[in-house]
This record gives sequence, structure tokens and C-alpha cells, in this order.
Amino acid sequence: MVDPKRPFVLSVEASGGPRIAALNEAAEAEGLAKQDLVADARAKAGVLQVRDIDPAADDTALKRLALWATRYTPLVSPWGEANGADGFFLDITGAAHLFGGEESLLADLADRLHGFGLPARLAIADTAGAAWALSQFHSSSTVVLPSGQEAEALARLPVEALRLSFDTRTTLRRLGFKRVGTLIDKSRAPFAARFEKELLLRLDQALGRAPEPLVFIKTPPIYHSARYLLEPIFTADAVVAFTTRLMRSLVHALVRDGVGARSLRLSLYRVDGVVETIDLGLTLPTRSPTHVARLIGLKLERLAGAVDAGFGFETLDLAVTVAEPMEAEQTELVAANDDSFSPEQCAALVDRLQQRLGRDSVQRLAPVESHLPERAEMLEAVVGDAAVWPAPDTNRLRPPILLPRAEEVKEVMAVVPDGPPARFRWRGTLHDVAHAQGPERIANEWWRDRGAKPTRDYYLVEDKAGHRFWLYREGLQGSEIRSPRWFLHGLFA
Amino acid sequence: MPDPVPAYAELAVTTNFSFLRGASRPQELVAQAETLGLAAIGVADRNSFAGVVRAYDQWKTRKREDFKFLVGVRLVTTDGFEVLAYPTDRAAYGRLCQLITRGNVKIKKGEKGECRLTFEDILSASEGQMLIALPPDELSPAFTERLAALAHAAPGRSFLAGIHRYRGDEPRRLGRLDELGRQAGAPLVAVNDVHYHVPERRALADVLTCIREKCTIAEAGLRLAANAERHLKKPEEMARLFAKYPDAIARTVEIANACHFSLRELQYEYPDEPVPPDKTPQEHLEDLTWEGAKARYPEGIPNDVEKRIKGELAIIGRLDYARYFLTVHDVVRFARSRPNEILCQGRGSAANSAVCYCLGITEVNPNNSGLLFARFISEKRGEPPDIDVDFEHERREEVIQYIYERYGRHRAAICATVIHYRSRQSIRDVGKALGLTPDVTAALAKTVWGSHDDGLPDAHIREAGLDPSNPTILQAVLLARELLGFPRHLSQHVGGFVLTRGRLDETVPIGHAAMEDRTCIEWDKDDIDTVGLMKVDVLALGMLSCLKRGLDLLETHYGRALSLATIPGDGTEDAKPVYDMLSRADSVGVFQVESRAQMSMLPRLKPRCFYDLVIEVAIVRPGPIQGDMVHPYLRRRDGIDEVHYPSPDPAHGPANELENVLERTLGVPLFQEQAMQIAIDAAKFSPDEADGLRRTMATFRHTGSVGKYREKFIDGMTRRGYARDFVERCFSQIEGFGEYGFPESHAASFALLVYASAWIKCHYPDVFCAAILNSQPMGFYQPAQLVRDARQHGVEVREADVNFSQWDCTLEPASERNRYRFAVRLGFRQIQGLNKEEMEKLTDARGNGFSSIERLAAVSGVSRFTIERLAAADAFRSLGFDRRKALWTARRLDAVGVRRGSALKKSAADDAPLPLLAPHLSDELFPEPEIVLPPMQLSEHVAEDYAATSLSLKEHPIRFFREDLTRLGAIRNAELRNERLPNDATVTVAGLVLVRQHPSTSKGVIFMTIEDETDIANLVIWKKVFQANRRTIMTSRFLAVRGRLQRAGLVVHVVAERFTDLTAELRRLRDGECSAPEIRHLPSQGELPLIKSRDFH
Repeated sequence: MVDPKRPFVLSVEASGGPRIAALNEAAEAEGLAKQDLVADARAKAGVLQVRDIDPAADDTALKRLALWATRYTPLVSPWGEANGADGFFLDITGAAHLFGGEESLLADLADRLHGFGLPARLAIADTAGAAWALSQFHSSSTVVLPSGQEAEALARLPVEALRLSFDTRTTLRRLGFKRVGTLIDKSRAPFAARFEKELLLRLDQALGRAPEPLVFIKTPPIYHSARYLLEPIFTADAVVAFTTRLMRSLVHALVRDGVGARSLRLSLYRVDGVVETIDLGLTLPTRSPTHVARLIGLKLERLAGAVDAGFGFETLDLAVTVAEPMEAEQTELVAANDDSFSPEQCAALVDRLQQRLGRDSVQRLAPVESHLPERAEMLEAVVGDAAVWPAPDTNRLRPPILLPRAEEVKEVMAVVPDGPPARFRWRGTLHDVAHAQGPERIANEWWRDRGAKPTRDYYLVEDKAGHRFWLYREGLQGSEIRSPRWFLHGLFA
Repeated sequence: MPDPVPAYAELAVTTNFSFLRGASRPQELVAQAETLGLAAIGVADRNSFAGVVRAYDQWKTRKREDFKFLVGVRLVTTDGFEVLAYPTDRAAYGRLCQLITRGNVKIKKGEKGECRLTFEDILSASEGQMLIALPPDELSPAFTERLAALAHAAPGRSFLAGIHRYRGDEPRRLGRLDELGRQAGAPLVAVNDVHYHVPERRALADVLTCIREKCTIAEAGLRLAANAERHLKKPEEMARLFAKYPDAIARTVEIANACHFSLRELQYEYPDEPVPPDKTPQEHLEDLTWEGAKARYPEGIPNDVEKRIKGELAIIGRLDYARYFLTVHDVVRFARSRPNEILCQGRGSAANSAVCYCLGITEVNPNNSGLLFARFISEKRGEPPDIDVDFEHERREEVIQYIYERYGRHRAAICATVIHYRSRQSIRDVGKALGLTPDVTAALAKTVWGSHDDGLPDAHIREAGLDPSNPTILQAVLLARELLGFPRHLSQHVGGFVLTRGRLDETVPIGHAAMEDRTCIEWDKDDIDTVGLMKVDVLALGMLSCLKRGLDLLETHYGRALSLATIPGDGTEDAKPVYDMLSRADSVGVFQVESRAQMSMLPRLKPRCFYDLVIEVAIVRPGPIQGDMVHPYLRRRDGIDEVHYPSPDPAHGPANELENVLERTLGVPLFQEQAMQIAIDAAKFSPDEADGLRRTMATFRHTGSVGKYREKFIDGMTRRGYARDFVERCFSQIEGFGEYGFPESHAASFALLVYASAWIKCHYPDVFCAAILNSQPMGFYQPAQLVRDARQHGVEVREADVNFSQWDCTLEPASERNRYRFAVRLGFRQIQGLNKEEMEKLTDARGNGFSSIERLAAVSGVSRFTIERLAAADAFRSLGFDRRKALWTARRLDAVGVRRGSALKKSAADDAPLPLLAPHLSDELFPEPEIVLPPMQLSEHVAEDYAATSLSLKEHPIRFFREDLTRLGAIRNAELRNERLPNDATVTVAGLVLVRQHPSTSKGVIFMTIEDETDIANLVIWKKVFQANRRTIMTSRFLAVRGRLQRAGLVVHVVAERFTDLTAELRRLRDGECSAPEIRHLPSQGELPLIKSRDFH
């Protein structure tokens, strides 16, 4: 795990090896900076934690934060590459008074972001460009610039505050134009002859002489349905019945958008103001009102006393908290008495079992690539589609029944060093071997089995009665062990 | 009576030269096969002969005479058909080499990958091969078909491999294979598909699989082998596994007996080219030698020289090495005879012979250096002589192309260098395979920072904050240690050429080298020695380029035509100032003796003659240092200690038995040859054993035998009465020579270049400065230090300018008051980001000079980028523009329609008419409002100079901080030399960081060099101080250091105690003005390069 107190950097692949794309305070304190080679950084910092940067995740997180910020104004524009892709603009025209003015809006925003663990730099100005510049370069982390003071405020800032390309800003610096103020009010023609359009455009945008169109984020659709009851309800059955209706009212929107619910929240508003919430997670996306209602029923049953109806619920509110794409379904084409088991049915069963038994109590088997038979499959949580099992290897037979734990067999007679058993006693019965095939030699997984577990020689044997067994000798005689033990590990039909 | 054990030969052996497949070294496999009593072992790597020579080398030491070794190859087609091929004779072997070569050629340039073979390729090369097809897991009709085709192509020589895999279905599978083989006419042969010599290597084999498949061991699953059966097995074990198929066992021996090819047959295929048709090589060599002797000694060949030449020629004749010397001579003659001579110099065991001196291969007169040829060529060991020739580094390619042309690409190629797993890479790869996080493996890898391959001791692991008893870490460390020294891939040797008389591709497979126009073989230089092929090392040496330029400048400007041989040396009046200069450690830029360690040695050794330089070059090396030989030598030299020779107990030998060996070095062994001679004379090693010892230390070829040699060496000498302390130091010294063995013969050749470069620097510092700047990058110092050194010696250096500079730095008449006749004009090459061809266009178009930037742009046609680079370097001063005004003007060129940017398209630029307006381009024609550019302060100029050219002639950056530094209590670096400062005084110095060094011999001590406007200062940082100040030491570019002054003669150090990082201050240089308090500075990114330190980890 990453320890945020120690130097930690995100790396990005670059020519000459991975470079630092982002770093925490501890890493900065070690003298590291963006663009340093990770290899050099490791030499500089004592111990360095490195992870690959994930721009998609950053983008998602920024979008999520931008959506959250729509609580202040519907007009939120997350920054693209040109702005650094690490913040957003809020157009608070006409919105500030809702929060008690610009100052208090800014304070509220800062507080909340701080609560998320996000130290933020915030600025309010008449133009997006000026706000950006102040947020980046003003020494204070929250700035409110009075109207009309853009030129004055920007003049002191470095030319980097204009959001210019690398070439433009380095050339400006070389020419001695290090502050924005050295450019304001100069003749425009000499600059137009020497620089890309962006220079004058950015300057004008920051000063409000040219418009800067912003692209605002669109809020995703919300699937949400509520019902206000005249008479409060008390019973679980009633809750289930209303849930069915609420879900039914959502189906149309879900079908229209080609999505299904992966998780839902049912909020129950009690007459006395207490709110009970029930969260549901589903194995596969669903739109089925009956399925959802049934799960709610199971959940209520399981929660039994935990959900207290008190004086009754007066409002029910069902919201889809996670929606995922879902194929259009062909309903009613399958005959009702068809006993085939579709993935959907399976998922529905799993959902029901999980509601009743608890999430972790329902697991399924998945294949694992391992030579050791008992490790060739493993239990996993049921999420999404099941893994595909490989076709069995006909040259290396595996028994249909593998004992949960290999059982030692006694009185074994076998030829040294690696002959098959001639007879053995298992669960009290002596078996004389009629035919044997093997050995299949399987060594331990040395990286997992500390203390060197011995190698196994597996045999498929058939006794005189025609029973077929899967046995193994544990330990190579001579090299690993003096007298090997024998185990029965599986049964063939 | 038990049945006699049937003889068995293992014919499917994969070594670790099947990269990331085999988990044992060829040597281990051959040794194990002999121990287990196999009748023979056949080594067959995947489409390669890379490992066979090592196996052969091991096999030559066998004790069982009837133990056979077979050279083979496992041919794998691109569609997965695998067959083992064993050549029965030389011709068949040649066909296999050609087959693999063809497959290598098919790999397109730049793409990695294996040799590409098709089944048809294999059929076409099947003549004379014993072929054993390896069946796939699932037998298919396609395989059956191919097996039949193979048997049809090589009737009686085709076989089908049966492998007992322990997969449970062996009786059925072997039965099917037996039947299949009989039907196809390719009978069953037992093999064990060996991938490692003992079963314990299974874990390593699994790790290799993971590295190859780029997965972790937990993900590898069925890609790993199920068991550990792929090791060498005893004949009786194989007979038991194939009890039903005794013929399959017997056939292994039949196949082995049918193969008569041995690598011995490749020996001494030296080329004939240099020998005229009517003479024998020996006659021709003798003629050339006497001819050369006459030229060397125009007043007659002295008697002792004549005797010496005769003796050497006799040895060469007896050993039949004439063609070797003639070939080297041929290459050297080519270089010398170029219209513009390529400077070259031979070195190596045979190079310092009178014959080589006469042939012009070396300029070191063996009479002066007292080197004995016979010492270097052992008559007993039939090892070929070894001569490396260094050429000017920029012109070596001409020599290489000459060799290709003269001997043909089919007979000449560069030999390989095996890239081995070193500890860092080893732990990194193993850690990754075991699923350790990159952070942990990086921490583990870092525990070997700067140290060599001494594995990964627990203490280091703990130091990295990891628990050495953690099972996974322990496993990783153990496996990494096992992997250490495994070959990783083949690379191209820097210049080792192998030449053959016949076709080279019938001797060894040839592959494409990474570089264009190069071909490269699969064997490295030790392999070539073992096999006995002809090898010439054609190496590149930057100092030779520098010397050549220096000598050329000397001739054109001072009218002195000299060569390496005619530079006035010992005995002339030129020599004293040169040795005086070196004894002062005034050696910046001088070949070999300019490093900090050498600089602190020079005043202690005080060289007075050529042989002193030989010692100077050799003494600052891991060998003498680790053997603790340096101080005893210096004390004897200074007359503090008496010279005496270590001697054995009188009962065991004469007291003076080492006197001969150690005479020249005052009884202290300093050279590798001496150490080896001690092994022979005092420890009673045979010459072969001594050679084995040297090679053990030098490479990974004979891992594991170090202990054996050590015991023999120490026992041998102590038993004969030598002092144990001396014995152990001798052995440490031999260990120190390790990979950096530095024999006297090399030192002598280098010493000549030390003298030559020191002579130019001493007598013509202006020439030296220009020559060395034009040869960059080379050596230890950067242009800034070289220029500073020249200026301190009174050389005038002028800035690069569009109207005066050439691409190279040039000499211009100096201003009157100057000590030297010429001033150095910096060339455009000093300016970063310029293109040579484009700048040559500019100088061609310059005529009597440019009158304006517009004119320059229009006439020369260089790109705006280039003009901006020139402006950034402040190269428009002669036009009256400083860098800022020049940039302002240049930015406008597009807008006023000056066409440019076609400089590289010759025809277009020549044909295009000049723009009509070009001569009149000026602001009057295109008036614009005037913009006043902010004036530039000197400190800004200096910062910009550094950014554009890595140096500034205007001022030293630290000068601007002097007041602040004085306030900090710092003194100027030059003051450290002030005798009035007592030893052990506490001082504070400051400067830009030039070099950080962490030598392996320093036991954790870091050396750092900083520079201020007056001088450099050398810092010594003890391990503890380093750990406490790690960040500052590793990252800062400008710092102040408080510490104690340590002075020994002329050598001055500051032992650092406290550091202050001043790097952030550097920004003030460029920002000039103060920044307002309400402005927040973002962390700068790569701003202000100034001097980038050179770090040697």
C-alpha cells in the first residue's frame, strides 16, 4: 500500500525511461520535481513509492468532482489539456447570491473540498482567464477579484499566467517580457508579427476584450422515483408492493437509455422524520420490478428488527445509484416451462441468495492455471460473468470427484523407485490393483510451498472390482524422501 | 550379476545461451555429464552456436578420455517444427552456420527476434547432419508428414526424439512415437530434453520462463513445467525409463560416434591477403620488420635491438603467427596511408615488441620501456597474440569499412559481447517474476548502488528497509544470485574483428549488428581465443582525434609538422616543463591522468620520465588499490622505505626469485603481468593455471573456481615461506584486476598518449584548447572547465559569432598583449541544437561577412529555428545585436517575407533567386511601432550563455553570489591553496556541482567536485555524512559546504561536514528583478540547466 506520508510519485512512460508525472509533498520535500526520470528520483530519494499514472482515472475523478460542483451552478466546465486538466471553471453568474455572495460561496467551496481531502486554489474574476491566472499564481489560495481590475491584477503575474504554449512563453521570457504587465498596452502589431495568434487572444480573453467560450459538463440522467403516501405504511409486504410500482415507473427510462440497474437505494421516510435506507447491489444489471421487489423483501426479512417502521413510512423513494449498459431483452419469447438456466436467471438466483445469506456467502468456482490439482480451481466472489473453463486435457486425466483433502492410504505395495501401487487400503478396505497408468509427476509450487513440499507421482488405478482411483505417492524415493507415503486424491466413475 | 549399464549420450541439451530457456551454464552441463558417466553430451541451443565454445572449453579439461562432446544446434522453424542437428563433419557444420546466418538475415533491421527458419531451409542444409526431430505435444498429421520428408532428405540420419516427460501417458506416447518413427524411417532416440544440469535448478528455470513470458510466477500457470525432470540423468536412469526401447538408448551412442566434427578444426584460419604471392608470410614479415627497423634507426640498428628483433622473429616463426602480425600491420598501414592520416596506436600483449615498433604498430620503443616480448607470448599455451589498435574515434568507421572491403563481408565480422546479468538487473527481473512490487525490487536493486557483483548481503537488504528473512525476498535474493552472470543477450563488441581465410559464415553464424553496415558473429572474444580464430581489435579513442587535430593545428598555425613519434620526449629540453606541469597536477584535459584520483596521485608520484607515466597510468586502478600496493610503492619511491624483494624460505627457492619480476617497480607488484608472474614463480602455478586464474577473475566463464585458485595461490606461497600478509595482498590485487585488468603493455601505450597530450597542453595551450573542444565529448571535463583552464593558462578565448566562427573551434591571431600567438574562437559546435550541415551552408555563404540578420537569413537560407538558436547563444554581437534584440528581429523574419528553411535542400537554395527586397530589408521598409525591450543584466546573459552553450566567457555564475556567500562565511575555492590556512582548519566553500562520484573501491565514500569563479574544490563525503545529507548531495546543483581542510602536499580536500543547498538561488540569475510577495511561484520544471553535473555511480 502507498504510504501518503512518504515520497510517492506517479510515473508516465517517456523517452529515456519513465518520468515523474505527479508527486506528493513528501516527494517534493526530497527535491524531486515533475519530469524527473524515475530512475534518478530513486537515486535521490531514499525509498520511493512509484505507481503508473492513470489519466483515465484522473479524468473520471475530475468529471465526478465537476458534477458534484453543479450544486453551485449548473454551468461547470472541467479543464482540458490547455488549462492543465486539473480543475474546472464555474460560471456563477446569478448563482452567488444563493450562497450568500461570492466570498461565502468561495469559502463554502473551499471548506467542502477541504473536507474531501482536496486542498484547492480558488479564484473569482470577471473572466475565465483572469480567474485561472489568479488561481495558479496568486499567493493566496482564495482570491476574489473585484470587477474591472483584471489588467491591474494580471500585470504583476508571470507571462505563464496567460496559458500560452511552451514556445511562446519561453520566447517571451527570452525577450525579457517576464510579467504580463510588460505586454499590456504595448503596440499590438510588433507582437502579432512575431507570435502565434494565441498570445494576443489569451491576453484579450483574460482582460475581457475577447470572449472565451466554455464547454460545460452535462449531468447524466437520474433514475429516481418517489411516492408520497396519504396513509403511512407499516408492513414489509406493503413496502415490497410499493417498491414494485416505483421500479415499474423507472423501467421506461432505463429501456430508453439502454441501461439497467446495478445498484439501487430505497429510502423510506418515516412519519417522525427518520429516514431508513436499503442499498441493493446486483450481480448483473436488471430492469425487472419483480426481481428488485423480491430482493427488497429478502433484505427486509433479513434485517428483521433493524428496520423500524415506527409510526409508519409516509414517503418511499427508489433511486438507481449505478446504471450500466444492458442489452435489450426479448421478453416472453421463451416458453414459461423451459427449464434451461439462462445467465440472467443465474444472476437473479445469486442476487436472491446473497440477499438471504450475505454477500460473501455466495461464491463460485473459477479455473486457475496450476499443475497442482487442488489448486486448479478456486472460489471467487460472484461478480459479472463467469470465467470460461478450458477444455480438459485428454492426455492428463483429472477425476470428476476430487476429494476435498487427499486421504492417506496404507499397506501400499509398489515397485521402487516409481512403480504404481499393486494394492492399497483405503477407508478400511483393501484394494488389489488390476491396471495402473502413470506416473504423472507433479512437483510442488516452490514459490508458495515454503519448506519444500515433496513431489507427487499420480496414478490412475483400477482395482479388481473395476473401481477407479486417483492416487499419488508423495516424495521421490531416494532424492527427496526415504519411504514415501501414499494418498488417494480422487475417484473416477 | 546385474546387467551392464548401457552407454548413453545426452543429445538434447539446452544451455543458458538459449536465452531465458536454459537454466544452467554450458560448463556446468558438460561437467555434470562427465560426472554422471554419460558417453557424450551434445549441446544444442536454439538456433545458435553461442554457447558451444564454452562447453568445448570445459570439455577440454575432461578427465575421462572417452567422454565425447558434440557441437549441435536445435533448429526451430517459425512455425514451431523443432529438430536437433549434429554435424558429422566440418562441411556439415559449415552448412549449419550458413543456415543460421540466412535465418538471421531475414530478421528485419531494428526488429528484435529470433532467427527465422523454415522447414525447407532445414531440408536444404540436411546433408551430413544427424537430425533428431522433436515431436510436439499433440502429434499431428502435419508433423508425421514432415518427419517423413526429413527422413527422405536425410536417409539413415534422421531420428525421432522420445522424451520421458512423466506426464502419466508415457507408455502410450512412447509406443506411438516408436511406431511413427519406424513408419517414417526415423527411428526413436532417447533424449531427456535437458534444460538444467541438476534438478535444483527448476526454480530458476521457472523464473526464466516468467521473465521470458513477462508474467509473474503466480500468473505463469501451465507455462511452467510440471516437474523438475529436465535435468541430466544417469545412463542407468535413462535405461530404466526406456527399458522397453533399448535401441533408443543405443542409438544415442551411435549418433555420437557418427559425428566427427570438432571445433579444433576451425583453428588458425588466418587470412592470406597481406602476403605477396612469391613469399611466405614469415619471409614477408621479416622483410617488413628490417625495413621498418632501418627507418626507425637511420644511423644503424643498435646491436641489442637487432638481437631482440631476431629473437622475436624466431618466436613468431615457431608459433606461426606471422600472418597475424601482417594483418595488423596491413590495417595500420591503411590508416597511416590515408590522404589525411588516421592517427592510431597499438596496445596489448604483443604490441610492445620490437617487431611492432618497427612495423609502426606502436610508437612505444620497447628499449625505453624495458618490456619483454617473451613475457607476453607464452610459447607453451598456443594462445594467439593479442594486439588492440586504437584509432581516432571519429574515423574508426573508415578503418572498419576498409576491413570489410579488403576481406569481404563474408570473411570479416565483429565479434559479440555477452551481456551478463549483473546484480541489479538480476534482482529486478527475479523480483518482478516473483511478483514483488517495483518499489521493493528497486529498493533491493539499489542496495548494490555503485558496488560490483558481490551479491546481495543481508546487511544491505536491511539497509534498504526490507526484511531479509521474508521468504519471498529471501527467495528473490537467492535466485537472483543464481542468475548472476547468466547471459542475457549478445551485443556487439566495440571493435573486435574476426577474420578468416575461408567463408566466415561457414565457421560461425553471423547476425546483423544493431548498427548499419555491421555484421556480428555469435562468439565473444574469449570464445574466439579458445577456438583460435584471428581477431584484431579496432577501437576508437577520443584522445587520438584530439591529438590529430592538435598536430594538424600545430602544422597549419605554427608550422611545426610533428607526429606521435617525433614529439620531443625524454632527454629533450621540452620534457622538463611537461613533467613539471604534470607533477603540479596541472592536467585538465590530459589523457588518462585528468581524473580526480589521478590528479591527487600526480604530485605524490612526481613523474620525471616516460616510465613514471607508465606507472602513473597503472597505479590508480582497482588492482593496486585493492592490493594495498600504492602506499608501499610511494614510500619506497620517496626513499622513506627501503626497496626489498619478497622472498621464499631459503629451503624452497632462491631469495631473489621475484627480483626480476619486481625490479622496475621497486619490489612492489603494480601490473597485472607481475601479479601473474608471481603466481607462476612464487605460487608455482603452471602458465596455463595462471591464465585460468586471470580469466576466472575477468569473466563469468569459470564461476565457482575462484575459491580453488585462491586456495592454491595462498597455500602455494605461504608454504614456500612468503609472508602471509604479502600473499593475501597479492591475491586481493589479482581480484582487483578483475574485469579491469591493466597490464603494463597497455599502460605503456597509454603513457605515450599521456605524454603527447601533456606536451601539447604545456607548450601550445591555445592549440590544445581548440583541439580538445573539437573532439568533445571525451574525457572527464566539460567545455566550461576546459575553456576555463585554458584561460587560466593565459589563452584568449572568444565567443562564437555568426561572422567569425566555423563549425569547429578555430585559432585566430591573438590580441597584442597576449602570451600566446593565437586566440581560440569558439565554433558553432558549442551551441546546442545546431546542425553541422546547415552551419556549413552559413559559413560558405558568409563571404566577407553578413551585414544584417535579414541578409544572413536570406543568403544562407538557414531555418528560423537555427537563427533563434544563434540568437540564444548571443552570436550576433558583430552585427551590433545582443541576444534579445537578435531574437526580436529574428522572430519577425516570417512576417516580412524573408524566405528561409531550405538550407538542407541544396539545389533549391542554389536555384532560388534572392528575394528582390533582400538587400534592402530593414525596418525602414516595414516600419512598425518601436517596442523597447527590457534591458538585460549581466547575470541574465551568463545564465542564457550557459543555457545555450554550457559555458560563458562573460562571467562565472557564482560571481553574482559572491557577496551572499561571503556573508555565509564562504571563502573562494582558490584560497584553499593558500598555505596560511592550516591543515584541519574549518572552512566553508561553495560552488556549482561538477562531478559526483561513488567509486566501488571507496567503501561508501562519495567524492564531489564543485566550482566557483576562482577554482574547483574537491570534497570528500564520508558515508555517514552522505546518509544524513543525501538529498542535498544527490540533487543540488549549487551548494555551500562546511568542512575541514585536508592538505597533503599539493593535494587539497575539504572533508565535508555540513551542507547548504543553494540551488534555488540560481533562479535569481535569470529572473534578475525581485519577485513580488503576492506572486506564487510554481515549482520550476527543468528550468536553468547551467552545468549539468556528471554523476558516476
